[in-house]
Amino acid sequence: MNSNIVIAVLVSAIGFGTPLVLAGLGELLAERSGVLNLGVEGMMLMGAVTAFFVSQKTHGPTALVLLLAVLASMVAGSAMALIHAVLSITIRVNQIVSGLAVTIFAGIIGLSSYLGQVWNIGGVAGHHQFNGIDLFGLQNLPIVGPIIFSEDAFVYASWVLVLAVLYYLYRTRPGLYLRAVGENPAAADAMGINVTAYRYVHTLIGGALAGLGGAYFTLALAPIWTTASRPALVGSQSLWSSSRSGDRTCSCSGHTCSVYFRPRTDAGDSRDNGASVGVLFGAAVLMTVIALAAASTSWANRRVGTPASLGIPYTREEG
Amino acid sequence: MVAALALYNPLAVVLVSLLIGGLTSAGFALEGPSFPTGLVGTMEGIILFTVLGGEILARYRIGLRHRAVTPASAGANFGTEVAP
Repeated sequence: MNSNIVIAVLVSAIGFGTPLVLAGLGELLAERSGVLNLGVEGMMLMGAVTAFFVSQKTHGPTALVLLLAVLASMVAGSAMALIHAVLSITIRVNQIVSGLAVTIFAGIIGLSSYLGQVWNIGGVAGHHQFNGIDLFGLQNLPIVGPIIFSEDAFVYASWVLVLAVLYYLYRTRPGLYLRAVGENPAAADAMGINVTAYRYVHTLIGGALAGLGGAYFTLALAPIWTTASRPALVGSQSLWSSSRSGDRTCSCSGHTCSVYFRPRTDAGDSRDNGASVGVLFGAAVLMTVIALAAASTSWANRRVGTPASLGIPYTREEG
Repeated sequence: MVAALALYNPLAVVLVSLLIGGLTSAGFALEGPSFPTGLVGTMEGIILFTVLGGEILARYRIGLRHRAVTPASAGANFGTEVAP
């Protein structure tokens, strides 16, 4: 195989993996607090459409516009997460159903598509976008240069975020409390931790990160909002289920690797080499199945394991 | 989704699936300049949110828990919530 193709695939794997990393980190935080969030797809789409809207309709220096767009996407993602949080934490609806409801509400046949049409931003190329930065001036190195040292700020931010979340979970007191809330909310409550507040905050942060992941699509990867770009979003979303299995195993770094080295399913590249998109996509889903199977073995469960109270609403001394 | 809307009742599943299927296909038929595509999902989502929330809230009661009443604890158990 030509080494250029390998480099191209790795570059685009990082590109397509970054939204998944961001959304996966958000999902990880929510799941660690015991809230299963299946609405991430809706949150990403809302983040994508809001970010693109803001980047199109505000005028000013590119850096400022992009900053505003990123903030708007996070707000949009959190707003969707708030619906999910109220339903699943306060009203204690089944979290799976509530998450799916958010996906339908905000997803491809829902609010994001509606807003895209009402705001009239479809089919126009973006005015502003994140460009690659020449990190440490190493852009021209062979092989690693284009792959690692010429990504855009978003990608580097996602790498920093992975480390930050890792540090937060395992080296800080709120991180410890968060894990306690996810494992045994009653014990955490007895310790004086506000379980509801922890779940709300982390679900909202999870929504913000999902919105951020969506924003990456419309601000960096393919700065346009069309009916054609939405299937791309959704296609990557089916893959997101495997990033969630990565959260389940709850190893940040392992999760990130599995996301980054996923085969690219974009039609553009595979067409030239005679490989069918379907085969690549199938391979990605197959990897998901294998990862899930591996994660469900008793060996893996002993070592990593899902938060014990994941998906169970917390009720304090009732009944 | 449909099962949850039907409150896990097999007969209700038929009705709910007709409702959701009807909404979706009506949405495709109505699609046009005056009817943005996203409205269908938005409406289905709102239906889901309200039905699910309402289902839980409908069963939410405030009850009294009966215990041996001592003067000190009398009145202390008002407003204890009964889990659905």
